[in-house]
Amino acid sequence: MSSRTLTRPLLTATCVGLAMIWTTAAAWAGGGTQVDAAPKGREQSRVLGTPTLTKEQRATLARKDKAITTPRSRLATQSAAVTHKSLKLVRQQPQLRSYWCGPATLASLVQADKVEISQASAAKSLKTTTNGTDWYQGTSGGYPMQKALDRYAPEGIAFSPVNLPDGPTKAQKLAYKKRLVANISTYGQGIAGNAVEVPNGPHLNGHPNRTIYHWVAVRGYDDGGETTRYADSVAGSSISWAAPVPRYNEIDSDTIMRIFGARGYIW
Amino acid sequence: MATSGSARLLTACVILTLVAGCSGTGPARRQPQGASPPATAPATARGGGTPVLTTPTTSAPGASAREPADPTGSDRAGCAVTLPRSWQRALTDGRVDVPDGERLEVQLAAADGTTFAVSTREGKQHRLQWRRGNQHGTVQDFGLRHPDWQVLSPTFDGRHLAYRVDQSLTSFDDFSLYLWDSATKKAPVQVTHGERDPDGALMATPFVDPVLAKGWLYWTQTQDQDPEHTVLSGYRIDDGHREVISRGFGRAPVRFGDHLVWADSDRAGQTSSLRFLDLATHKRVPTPQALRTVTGIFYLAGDRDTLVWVAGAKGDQVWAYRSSWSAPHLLVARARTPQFPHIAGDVVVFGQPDAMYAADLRSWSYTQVTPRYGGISADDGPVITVGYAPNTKSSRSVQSLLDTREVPPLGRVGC
Repeated sequence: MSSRTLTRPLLTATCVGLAMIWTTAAAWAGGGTQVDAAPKGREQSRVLGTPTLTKEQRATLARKDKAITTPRSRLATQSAAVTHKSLKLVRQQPQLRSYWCGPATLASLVQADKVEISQASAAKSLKTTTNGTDWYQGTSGGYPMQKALDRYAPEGIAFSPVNLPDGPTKAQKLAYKKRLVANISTYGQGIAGNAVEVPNGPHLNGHPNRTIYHWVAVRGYDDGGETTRYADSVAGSSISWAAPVPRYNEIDSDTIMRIFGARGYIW
Repeated sequence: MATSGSARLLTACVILTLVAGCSGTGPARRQPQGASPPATAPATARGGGTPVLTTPTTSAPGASAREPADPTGSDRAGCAVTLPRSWQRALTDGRVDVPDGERLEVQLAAADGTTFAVSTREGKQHRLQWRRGNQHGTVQDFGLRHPDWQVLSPTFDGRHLAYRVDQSLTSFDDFSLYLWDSATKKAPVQVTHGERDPDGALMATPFVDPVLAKGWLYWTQTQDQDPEHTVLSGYRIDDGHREVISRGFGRAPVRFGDHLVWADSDRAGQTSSLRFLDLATHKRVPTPQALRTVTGIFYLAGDRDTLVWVAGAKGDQVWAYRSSWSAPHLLVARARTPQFPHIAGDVVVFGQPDAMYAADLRSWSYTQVTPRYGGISADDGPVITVGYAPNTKSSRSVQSLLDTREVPPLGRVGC
């Protein structure tokens, strides 16, 4: 899943997937196969067009920000009083398909409101394909994760997408920390983060040093927002080898903002 | 660019020397102050010419400085020290120059001077290359259809190269494992790949980090439509004969002397402990007495003489053991999520979320190598590959090769 604007019809992707199964199955027979027909496959967390916010999305974002930043406002006071909190209801879910980090993240986050959905349902809501879950699908499609979260959100809760540049600014990091604290401690909602990890850049806990496009469910914070707690759907299962990628993780909030850079987060 | 980088480097060295201290409390608490990222990294990659992939040359220290430390009898963890100037110089000298328009990711630098790197020119080429002196060639050409294919965990035994190719930008499970013969230079052989469950979905698998030893290739993965177990397999290089060595809940094996070692458990969800296999007979042998209490292994690395692992209730301890030692010893205590350790002779390298680190078994100390996050690796040889954080996600990363034979031990200044 990448920022590149490569589009690939679902039918083509499916055909490629089938071709890959056939190719690799053939390759598996015997002691080994010379590489001449390499398996194919590409997954891209796409950004189609230039991500923008609609008038309604901008208004929602402004309203939410005002509520948590206005001095002595009820929400600002409540948020500031809690230095650490996690949403225990938001439990990690191992992704059931290699490209279902988005659906697993959505299925985890809606648990905050005691909603249980299958990853298959989440994948349908998110229009997830073998290309993964898109960050932005153009003016017509909008932000699939935001739409899906809104669909399952309780009355009065509206999620907002936040686009980030490659390297988020100090102000953007500060805004994230305030939103993180407010979302968790006051609204009782998690955050969907769209990660872009590159070689030698910052990585999520246990991720190898390579390019990775991924969704994670932010479910808590510590140190007044300086630390982000998240659930990683990569963590496999209860079997012992899952240890290197823990289900639940903590990371410096400035660092995870860098990881979300070039995509963004939904709060 | 190189000139300004050198000036910044010199300034940073002075600042670091003046302000960075040795707290001895673990990597998480030792933050060199005043070390801005570009300052301690080698100068930005320069353009022009053919990629230069040579191991760095620096003055060799005295032989006595390379005597491996035997910490037996001491229960003290290693001490944090500042990156010595000699190491900093070697990292600067070992910088990998990359021509303009090319992205070069050094994967491995072997003791004999052979290097393997992925060379990418957008829209023109994407291939795994080998280089030794003035000679060079292609190991595998990924072509332009697969810009997302990434090489990981390469290992080279002097003749054969084994490596994993991750074929998805989102999944860790869509991979192929290849074997290439540097003597024949024929196209690599695909030894295995990610397998699917009965529903056709790729099964989650431990990271497939191959091991080459005594004419065999070893690896662990989920297979046979059984996502609940992992299988340790062997592939005899001469004739392609395969053996299932163990089925359980283990992760990637490592070589330790004449043994293959891996972390495994008897049942799902149990705390792991070490398993030993004799490489000559492929028979399980008892875990050495000194290692029987080692449990809960987060990461494991090994070579002919050294075994290193990350453990502790919080996965914050780096332990080391050598066959000549009577017991394992705590090399780094209270580290901040140490990950992916590798061994380069007497040096152990590992990553943390904040930076890359190196620990020295000779001086029983460790140091922060990069100013912030990056990459660090080694392959059962003396050369460490260091990657520095790129300025932006789309920009190139500065890389450096450091031959640990050519630098003195980290020392214990301030311990």
